Amino acid sequence: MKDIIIIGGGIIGTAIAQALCKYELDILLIEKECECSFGVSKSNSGIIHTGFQSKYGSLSATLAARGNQLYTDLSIDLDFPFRRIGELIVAHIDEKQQLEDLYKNGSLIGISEMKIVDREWLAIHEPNLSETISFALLGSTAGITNPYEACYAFFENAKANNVQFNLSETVENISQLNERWEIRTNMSTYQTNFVINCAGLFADKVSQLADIECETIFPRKGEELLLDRHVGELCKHIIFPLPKPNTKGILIIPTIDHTTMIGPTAEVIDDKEDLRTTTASKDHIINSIKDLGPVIDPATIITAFSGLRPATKLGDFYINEDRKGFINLIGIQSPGLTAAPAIGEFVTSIISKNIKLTIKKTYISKRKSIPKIRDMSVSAKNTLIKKDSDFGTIICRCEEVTKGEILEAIRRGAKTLDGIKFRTRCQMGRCHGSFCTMKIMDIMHEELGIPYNEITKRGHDSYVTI
Amino acid sequence: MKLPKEVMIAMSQYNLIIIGGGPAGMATAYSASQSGLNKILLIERLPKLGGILNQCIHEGFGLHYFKKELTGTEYSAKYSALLEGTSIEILTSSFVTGISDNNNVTYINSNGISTVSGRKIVLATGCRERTREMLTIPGTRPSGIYTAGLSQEMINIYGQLPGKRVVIVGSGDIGLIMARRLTLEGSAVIFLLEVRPTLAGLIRNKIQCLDDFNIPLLCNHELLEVYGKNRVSGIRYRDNTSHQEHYIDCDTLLFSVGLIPENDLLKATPSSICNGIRLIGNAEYVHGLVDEATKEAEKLGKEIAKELIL
Repeated sequence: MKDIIIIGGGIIGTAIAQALCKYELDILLIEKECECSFGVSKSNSGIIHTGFQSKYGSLSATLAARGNQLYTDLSIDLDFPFRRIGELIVAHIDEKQQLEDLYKNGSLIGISEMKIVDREWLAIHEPNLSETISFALLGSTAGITNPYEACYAFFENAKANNVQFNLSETVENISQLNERWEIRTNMSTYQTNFVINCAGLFADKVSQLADIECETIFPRKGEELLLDRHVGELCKHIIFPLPKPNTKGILIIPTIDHTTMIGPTAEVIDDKEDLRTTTASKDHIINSIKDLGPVIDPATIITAFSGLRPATKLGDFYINEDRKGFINLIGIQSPGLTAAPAIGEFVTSIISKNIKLTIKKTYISKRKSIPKIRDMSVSAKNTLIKKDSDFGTIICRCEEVTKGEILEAIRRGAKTLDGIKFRTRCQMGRCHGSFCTMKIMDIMHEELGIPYNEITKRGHDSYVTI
Repeated sequence: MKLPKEVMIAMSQYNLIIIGGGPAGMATAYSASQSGLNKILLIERLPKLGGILNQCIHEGFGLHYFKKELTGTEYSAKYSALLEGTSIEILTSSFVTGISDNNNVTYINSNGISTVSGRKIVLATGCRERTREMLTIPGTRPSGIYTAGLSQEMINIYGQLPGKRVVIVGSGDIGLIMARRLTLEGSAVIFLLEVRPTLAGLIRNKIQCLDDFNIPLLCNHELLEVYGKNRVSGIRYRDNTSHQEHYIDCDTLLFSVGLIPENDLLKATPSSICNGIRLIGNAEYVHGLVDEATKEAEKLGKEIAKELIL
């Protein structure tokens, strides 16, 4: 008998687990993929929004604004990267009114550190932007993080506080038994007082399993392009065009790792597993960026990837205890990463109305990240290598990732090539793993004790060798 | 003023530092040493000298230099044996992370971070393969998509088979070699797709690796899209002569679509000293034969020795 079962181990599920793990609760998280963050979260852009693009009064605006504030302390306590670099929503000469409307919207939400800047300011601070851009709304509280690292930080901290994670397990049926819920999976059957459904793209299906009607999820595909490290940061801030009803538009995103990402597109599709990239999307992204100023040399694109947003017709987050003990989280798309810690608080407040929450005496509030050799000072590198010489063996030459980092990722739960990539950046560089894939597999083979041909890229039948 | 500890350690000085212990790096070091130069340091990232030769178990190496047909591994062993008994200092399992002012070369290995200084620096870092991502081929991103060189490492170094039904994209030499290698290992190589009208690799490789095994090379054919959720399940491609599109099932896609000199270290090097750094072997331009890279590198080694011994 569990107190709480969380369905879905993306950024929302892990953030909720992290928020609840400080209390005396028996919590189980069930994730259908073999690692956390392998669903919607893996294609996240890593932006921590100010919140002013969401409409005042909406749940997403409130939770994004609150989530943004929480990231400062969280990123320190859980030791994941976060930098408030600010965002600029840019406008042409005749579009200033729209910026003022956004400013007003932001003020109503309660967002601080906003101002409208002019061409002169832009010429100094963002020289790569087109001269046709006359004004911009600067939101200084916006930041960037690494979405996987945030997710794995939540995961590791929740795990350290005894949240049980059942990965590669699929929920097949949910039924109500008196005051409890029974969840049947492909592996086992569990009983619980609370169900938290944050199954991302499949949250509507999970809700249906429990016979609870909810908004239908219409996946909206977003394709993004990652540029070579040598291109550097095209802009200092995250650059947005003026938002459209369904999308924040095609952006220039300085990543936490000092590279540039451009995109995403926004295309409504039917298939929840359609992650194809297309030439049309690539061209659309490059053309849209040209309107903002920078001309992208296609030779500097090191990869194209796409993700799906779990969008609904409601156009806002839906979080509600739809039946006693069953909390639905539907349509948590952008700004979901930003809102995640606030969603954790919000869900905690719903739970606290039903269960008396007491803080664990053994609660561990801190988590340390995997050391990143590349970013360390010489003396810190030497100290670490002296302690463990594996941190002196470079495996991924493009991103300078060491054997020590890979082993650490495995010891923290990585069991696939993508799991290692998301945690360490190994294979994320310009050679796309052509130099390091086998060396990583060799380490996995040794550390996990599995044959090469059982190693997968991302679970299921994504075997690397046969 | 008290300097941090790492600055106070006396830095080792070399006449010549060569980064990369493949054929070009070994040859530069060897000939410089044979020309009388001392204090030479050769830095290699892998545990063993030889570079990419060590995964080339096929023949076709050494005809010009050693006047004998050798495999890549034999060539590597024969050349690295020349280095024994010389005064060249060899550092393996050591990775250069940067070159900075005053010709300082910083590397990392299991002993920590070290910086050495060289009057001359040679970059012999080889090349890397172009990937599917660089061509931005549309479609899904499943497992089973590798560069031809990675598939070579899988089979020849680790004894692992990349897949059973293979399409090779491009007709570079490694692709041709791997078409034969995979066939010998029992995989079916369906065909090679070459977007250009003619073969990219050497004719002799086409004869020995494709024709002898009845593997078709489809020129003027372009890969359009990759299918497959977790593992490659097929591809869509177009015959650019007839403009007809086709689909075929496969579980593996190998790319042999060109090599790029690997000189990324220079991109992060201050421009003031960049000009003094010499590139050699495939880091300078991609060579057809290792023998040529060896000869050019030996010439460079000699020149550098002459310059420095004056």
